[in-house]
Amino acid sequence: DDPIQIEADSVQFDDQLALSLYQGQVLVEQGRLRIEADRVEVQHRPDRRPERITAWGDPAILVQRAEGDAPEQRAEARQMTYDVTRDEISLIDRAVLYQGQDRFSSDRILFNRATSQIKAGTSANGTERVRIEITPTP
Amino acid sequence: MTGSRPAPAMFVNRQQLTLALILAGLGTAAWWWGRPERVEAPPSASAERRPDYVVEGFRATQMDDLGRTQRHLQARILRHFPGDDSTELDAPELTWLVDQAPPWHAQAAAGRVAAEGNEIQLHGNVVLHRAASATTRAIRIETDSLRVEPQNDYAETDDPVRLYSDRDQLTSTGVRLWFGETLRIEFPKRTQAIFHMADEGRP
Repeated sequence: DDPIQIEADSVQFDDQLALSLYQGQVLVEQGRLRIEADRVEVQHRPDRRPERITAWGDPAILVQRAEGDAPEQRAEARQMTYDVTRDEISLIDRAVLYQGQDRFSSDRILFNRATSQIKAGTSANGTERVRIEITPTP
Repeated sequence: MTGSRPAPAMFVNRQQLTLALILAGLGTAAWWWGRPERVEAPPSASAERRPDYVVEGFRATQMDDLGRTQRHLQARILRHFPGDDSTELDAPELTWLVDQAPPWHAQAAAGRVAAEGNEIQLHGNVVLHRAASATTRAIRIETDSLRVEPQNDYAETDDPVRLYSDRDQLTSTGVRLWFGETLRIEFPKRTQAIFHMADEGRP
């Protein structure tokens, strides 16, 4: 339940659509999570809290800092959607996810922040094959 | 906003005619105002910028064709300056009603209505706020100045602004607000927003 902080060059709110749009050097932060993008759209719940955060960039970049024995996780994609309620992040279009030294790439990757579970390719409703590079630890 | 103009017989004297013309400029069909507590006699005209009349305890309510309150403007003191036909307000408070949402209230240390009369320039501790409702959250915006166009349900400033909505906050420089059917707010400059996800009382 960490607060979500968003910073951008300009912001627009539409009360009726419960939507806010952030444009230009957008930075989204929540606890260990950080997303950098060119444009971000936030769909708000009826109580105005962010429900779904969609980021576009070339690419948009996500970093989840390491904590305890959980390694740092990095991801990039041309579009990423963070479902705040389900704590899930969908990476879409040239999606790449790094977990420690390992690298996953496909057209679509689904990654659960709480469980660190990863689905990629067809199992994440993608169409492309998944390329996994596991770097053995010495 | 269509509406019939008040009949000429309504005006007791030139001061109230001038006052009504100002308010008519604020997109008003028919304005009614409370009996001013004291209307000073206009001082002798001289080159120095002097009001030709002053109204204390100024209150004006705009009704629509069905007699429903649309807008309300009050000020501790209103001064009208014949030189540039402008009006200055001390401690102005403007209220305007919006469809299907709580009314908006704007208050400031001072305000000014230019000759054309279609906008009010508020300055000094400007607070713009709306209460919560079943479908909307309370919103409070604080800034140093605000230009309000009541007739167009629009307001803007280029000054630093702080927006509060429950525990959420936003800071920026400049804001544009459209209060019509659906509220739209734009912050054209670098903006920081914080959304609290936990319920009140939890960190």
